[in-house]
Amino acid sequence: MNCIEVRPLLDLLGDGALDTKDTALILDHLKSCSDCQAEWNDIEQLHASFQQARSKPELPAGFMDKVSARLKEEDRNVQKRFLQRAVPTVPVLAIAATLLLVGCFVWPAVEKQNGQVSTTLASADRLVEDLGAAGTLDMISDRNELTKKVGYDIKQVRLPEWRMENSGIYKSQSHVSIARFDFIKKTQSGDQHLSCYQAPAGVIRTTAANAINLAGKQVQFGTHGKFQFALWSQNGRDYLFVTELPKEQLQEIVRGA
Amino acid sequence: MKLFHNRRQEFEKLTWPLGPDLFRMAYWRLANSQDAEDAVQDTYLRAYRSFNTFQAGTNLKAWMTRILINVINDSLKKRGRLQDFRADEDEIDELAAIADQSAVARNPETQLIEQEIHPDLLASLQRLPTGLLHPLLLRELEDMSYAEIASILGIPTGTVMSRLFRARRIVREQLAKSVERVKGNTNIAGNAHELY
Repeated sequence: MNCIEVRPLLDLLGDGALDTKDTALILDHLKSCSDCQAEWNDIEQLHASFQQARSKPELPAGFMDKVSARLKEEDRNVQKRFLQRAVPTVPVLAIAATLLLVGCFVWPAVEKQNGQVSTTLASADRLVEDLGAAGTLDMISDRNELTKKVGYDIKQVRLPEWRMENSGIYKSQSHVSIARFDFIKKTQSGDQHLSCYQAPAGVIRTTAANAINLAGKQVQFGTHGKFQFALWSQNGRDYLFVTELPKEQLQEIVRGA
Repeated sequence: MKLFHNRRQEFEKLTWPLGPDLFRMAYWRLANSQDAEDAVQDTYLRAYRSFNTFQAGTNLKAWMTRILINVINDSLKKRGRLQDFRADEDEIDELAAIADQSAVARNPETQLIEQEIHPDLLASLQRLPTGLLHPLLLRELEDMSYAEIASILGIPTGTVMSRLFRARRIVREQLAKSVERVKGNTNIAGNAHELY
C-alpha cells in the first residue's frame, strides 16, 4: 500500500472498521512512512481526547429528579385535559339519565302512589270531539269483561228513563283506559242521546271554569260545538256527560245521576 | 391514577440509565450546561409522550438519541443557530468567530465545565456544521456503529463515513491552530518578561 491508499483508511482503522488483512497492511506501511505515522498519531490523539470526553460532563446532581417531576406534571396535565374533555358531556348524560329515570320509573311510581295515573291526561274537549268519530270506541257489552279490560271497577251510573245503548273502551293516546257508555232515551219528539265517560279521578281535564254545585257535586260545564258537557269527580272517578241537549236538561240529568 | 403511575414507572425504568449519555451528547452539541439540561428534559418529555410508539426490543438508545437530536435541532432553529453541513471553510471561520463571541456571554458554571472538559476540543466541535458534528459525536462519544449512526440520522452508511472523515480533519486542524495560538501567546509572554 502507498500513502494515497493508506490515508483515507486511517479513519476506518481508528474506528476498528477494517478487516485483519487491511489492518496488517496499513500497520506495515506506518512503520516505514513517517508522514502517515504522524497522521495516524494525530488521529489517535483525537481519539484519546474523545475518550477522555466520554466521562465528562457528569449529569448534574438531582437532574433525573427534575425530569421525573416534569413527567409527573405531564401526567397531571393529561389527566386534567381528559377530565376537561369529559366534564362537558357529564351534565348532558346525567340530565338525560335523570330524565329517563324519572320518566320511566319515578314519575309513574309517584302517580301510582297517589292513586292516579295521568301520564297523558284526557281533554274533555277531545273526548267530546271523538264522540261521533268512527273507530274511537272499542265496543264491549259485557260489564265484567269491560271491568277487566279497563283495570278498575266500573261505577254503575243510574239514569232513570235512559237505556244503555253501547258500552266499551275509548281508544285514547293515554295508557289509562277510559270507559264509555252511550245512552238513549226515546221521546215523542225523537231520540235523545247521552254519552258518559268514566275514568279514574284526575284523568279527564277541562279548561271550563264555571263549576256549579249540584247535589253535592262540583260540576264543570262546558260547550264544544253542538255538544254540552259536564265533568265532575265522585267516589274516585271522573265522570264526563256529553249530550246535544240544552245545558238545563244536562244539569237535571247530572243532579239525578 | 394508577395507570399513569405504572406507565411512568416502566418508562423511567427503561430510560433512566440513558440520562448521563443523553446529557453528555447534548452538552457537547450545545456547549452549555443549562441548554443541555433543557434539551434532555424536553427529550424525556417528548419520548414519554410518544412512548407508545416505541417498539419493545428495538434500540432504545438510538430512539432516544434521535429524539434528542430533533429537540436540539428544533431549539437551534428557533435561535437561528442551526447550520447546514455544507458549510465551507470561510463559513467555519465565521462560526468560530460567533463561538468566540458567545463564549464571552457564557455563565461561570459553563466556563468551569469547559475548563474541565478540554475547552479546545469543545470549541473545535462548535465550529463544525451540524451535518458533520452529529456523526462525530455519535461515533466518538456514544461509540455507535456506522449503521446505528446512519439509522439515527437517516443517511446512508457511506455518507456517515465520509462525514466522519471530514469532521475529524476539521477538528484536528482547529486543534492544531489552537496549539499554535497557545505557543504564540507563550512566546509573546516570554518576550514581555524579558523586556523587564
